[in-house]
Amino acid sequence: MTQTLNQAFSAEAVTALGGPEWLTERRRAALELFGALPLPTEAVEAWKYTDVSGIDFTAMKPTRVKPAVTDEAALPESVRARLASTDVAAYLVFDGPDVVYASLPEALREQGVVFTDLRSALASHEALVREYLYSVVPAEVPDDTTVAAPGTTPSKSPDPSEGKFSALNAALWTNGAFVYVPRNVEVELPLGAFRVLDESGAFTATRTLVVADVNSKVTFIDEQDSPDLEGAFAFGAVELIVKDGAQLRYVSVQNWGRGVTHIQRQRGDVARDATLNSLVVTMGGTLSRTEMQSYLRGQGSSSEMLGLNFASEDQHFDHYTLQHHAAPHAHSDLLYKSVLADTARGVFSGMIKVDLGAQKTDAYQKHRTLLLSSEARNDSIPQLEINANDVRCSHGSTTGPVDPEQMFYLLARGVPRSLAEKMLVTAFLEDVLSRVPLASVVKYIEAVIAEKVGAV
Amino acid sequence: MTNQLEIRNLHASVGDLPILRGVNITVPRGELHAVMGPNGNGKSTLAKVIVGDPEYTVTEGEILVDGHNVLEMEPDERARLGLFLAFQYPVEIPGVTIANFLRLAMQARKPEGEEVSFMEFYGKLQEALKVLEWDESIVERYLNAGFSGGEKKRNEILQMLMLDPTYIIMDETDSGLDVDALKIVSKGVNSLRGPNLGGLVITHYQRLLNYIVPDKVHIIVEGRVVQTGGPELAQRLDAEGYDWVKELARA
Repeated sequence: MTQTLNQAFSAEAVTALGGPEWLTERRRAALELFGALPLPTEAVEAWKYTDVSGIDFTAMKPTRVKPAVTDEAALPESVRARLASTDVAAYLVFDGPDVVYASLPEALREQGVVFTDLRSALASHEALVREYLYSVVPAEVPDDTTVAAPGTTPSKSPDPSEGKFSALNAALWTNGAFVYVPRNVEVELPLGAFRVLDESGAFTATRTLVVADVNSKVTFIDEQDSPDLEGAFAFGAVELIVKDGAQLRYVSVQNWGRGVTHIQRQRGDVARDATLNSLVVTMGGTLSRTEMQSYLRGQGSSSEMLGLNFASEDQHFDHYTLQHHAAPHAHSDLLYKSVLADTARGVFSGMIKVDLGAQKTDAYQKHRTLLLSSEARNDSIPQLEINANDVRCSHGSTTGPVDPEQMFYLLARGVPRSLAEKMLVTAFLEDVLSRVPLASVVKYIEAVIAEKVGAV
Repeated sequence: MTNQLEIRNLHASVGDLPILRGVNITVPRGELHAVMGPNGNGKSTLAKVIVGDPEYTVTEGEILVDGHNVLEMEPDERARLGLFLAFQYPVEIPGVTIANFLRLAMQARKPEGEEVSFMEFYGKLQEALKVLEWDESIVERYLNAGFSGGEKKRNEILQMLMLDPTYIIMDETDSGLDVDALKIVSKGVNSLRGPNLGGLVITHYQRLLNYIVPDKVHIIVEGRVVQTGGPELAQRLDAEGYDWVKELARA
């Protein structure tokens, strides 16, 4: 056991990952931080309802290296099936620690779009990567303390242990995706990364870095997929940099198999008049914790945060969201929907923070939970922390069973109860998808939902 | 005995409050009967009890559909047996398109292993939309979501036309409709009339009955049928109001 730990989580392992010296130093520092930090406990507000004390790092081993392929036909069946029905213009396929297949049409290259795995980007665009890597999701927990008026007490600083998993990722990330869209370039079709995992007991640390430069426009889709596994671990970090006037739409679809523990921090830095639209879909894994944070740095910036998830059987899903308004006239609108069946457990903590000076903030947060079983449990914790005096903020949370009137209406048309329930669950989640103008990924998510609903 | 909707000595309550106190109505297939009466006297309760709304408890009596007692049946079984309620307040279900809903509801009526064919679905839909003077794009919209009152009622009739009921129960379908919408809704219902369709048209006003002419009219007061007659009864109610029937209930 200790042997495994030494091999996978050692300074030697970090050095073996290669790359420029500055990166190795960052990785080593992160590894030290990881070793020094305790796991977050229930005493930490943001981790109150999710117990990670059982995570045994000593039992994890890195994923095996898989050979790269030059032909799409040689990819794993599950990936080929996905690629066949997607309309992404360019994509990276990660299997094991490395990218195994990449496509980037010449037209995008000519526009100056950089889209490659992070390791290759470090070789070809080192300065660019160095400027942005770790800038939004550093090893340590980002300091999201609100700026309060002089003489008043600012909010509590985040607990350092909230950096435990981001430190691990910063030290050991392998299959990273990198996107850079230059100034004024609009990429019409989505770009995407598919990550697959097929080894029980393995751990993978995934990283995505998207930079949308001034007035650019791009959509990026991160998909994660695996069969059911015994005790696999995925630690993710997603950095989204949306510069002045840029528009970034980011979708993450977590569809790991059962047995996977998934812990991912996604954070967007949204500059002046920029827009970040995010959709977080959680369907798989056994324990899943996903953070989606929007830091509204620039005046007039905007963030739409959508989420949908469906936990059944023994699944435990924890979603943490942050809408941090640091500048005036910014707008954020959050809608998360959760379905809980069987003995599943759902946690949603959503925070709206408004700094002193972030006047005319318009922030909205809504979380709705559909409970399909009396044994399922949900904890929804909406929080507001407002230090400006001319703002409009609202939040709301509802939890309940299927609407009896809707159910009766479907029954009265002859639809059997079990099918009616499936229709209402699908409809409940569909409502979120109707706000996402991406036909093919929506279709895929609908299929994932249908599979899950059908299994209940 | 068979081929009729028979309501025998029906008593029903909401919680501890009795609403229906012994209703007797028999409607053979081929006939539509109007059920009229002052508000709050049990007309809508009767409609909902027939189709099995769980809000109501039947305390006594029987409802027979073509000889089958439906009181022990779930609402979806009753619907598949041929009962159809046009709701007074149709429910909004965002996320379910009308097309998908209709297809699944039609499919639920098929024997195991038999699929609703595209031709069957589409052909029927075209016909129904034509009767209702509705554009095909409507079926891509979510069920009643953001519909006007008139659109909701029209959508009830669309479902009625698609699902081939044998007994329709119309619960104040005319409420809130302007004359143009009323004509379209009535046209839809009349297109279904024939020897195989029976049902109840529940209304407070005589206006709807100018367009859907009933074979009989029953008046319900205080949870009982106090008077039954021909279409002229509806006209008398329109002219004289409900005071005289309330007297009948007291007698």
